[in-house]
Amino acid sequence: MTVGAHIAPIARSHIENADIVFFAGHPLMEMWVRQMNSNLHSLQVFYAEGKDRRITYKEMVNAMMTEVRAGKKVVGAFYGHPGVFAMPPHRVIATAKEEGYAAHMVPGISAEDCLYADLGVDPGIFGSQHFEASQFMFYQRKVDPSAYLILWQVGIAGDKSAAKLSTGKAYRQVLVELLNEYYPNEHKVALYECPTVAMKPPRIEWITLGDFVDAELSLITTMLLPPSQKIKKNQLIIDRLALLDKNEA
Amino acid sequence: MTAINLLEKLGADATFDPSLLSAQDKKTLEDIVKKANTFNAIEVITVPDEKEPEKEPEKEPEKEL
Repeated sequence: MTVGAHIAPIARSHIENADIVFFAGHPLMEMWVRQMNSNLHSLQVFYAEGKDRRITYKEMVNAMMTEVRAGKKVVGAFYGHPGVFAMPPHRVIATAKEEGYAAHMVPGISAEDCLYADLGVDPGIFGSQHFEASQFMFYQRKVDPSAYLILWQVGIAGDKSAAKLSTGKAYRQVLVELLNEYYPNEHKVALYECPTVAMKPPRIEWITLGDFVDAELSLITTMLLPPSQKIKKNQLIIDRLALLDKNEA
Repeated sequence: MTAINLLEKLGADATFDPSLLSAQDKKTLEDIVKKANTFNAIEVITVPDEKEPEKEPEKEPEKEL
């Protein structure tokens, strides 16, 4: 996520030893990774304003597969964790395997990991649930308001075109009203962005849920909603377990 | 040291004290960060397929008595 800080040694080794590297990420990160392998091709070229991102991602996969089929050692370098909220890496690995090529993913540090560190959140304390913001709106999902809720891609919440860089206040209002079933408008939520360079601090902005409608968002903004209810004991199960403990003693 | 090498050092070297950067280095870093274009973040697409009907979960075969 951050230049210099978040690359696994094995990932760096793959990049350095690749015949060709395809890169998706911030331009500064691209400059940094290019130092590891000069034969680096940016995947940003496949984006265009108003273009359906599903087409862009297909083109990314095709570009990588072309080189795989040519017999080259190909590395796809994606910012963060390549398998977390990113379609092309999973697709290209699946495609390569289907065609009989060896392919695997090396995990990385994702925005989620940085969020836990920067916000001081331990997902193990109350539990943590993650949804992509638009999927949360398109489908009926169940929320446990006594656990953390993390919504990804809130900047394009409700986008059905897959071509927008942001959705407006009206879309966010729909999301807020959906969340109001579990969280009042006064509930404090955090907008989070991990910095690309270490000289910048992370964006951690605490606002009320109601103010989310007017917040400044980007494609990399993630929203954390802390629990709005206390966790409730399951006395029936606790009693059953106590009986087991007694029988074992 | 190039600007990118400086940024890498800031990110990777816990002993590197950014306050020791020269004024010129600081300006170089600020310039490169300012000039860098925003990028298109990779997203996951979850738009429902309107043509595909909702699938009912498969029923288990009835057990023979």
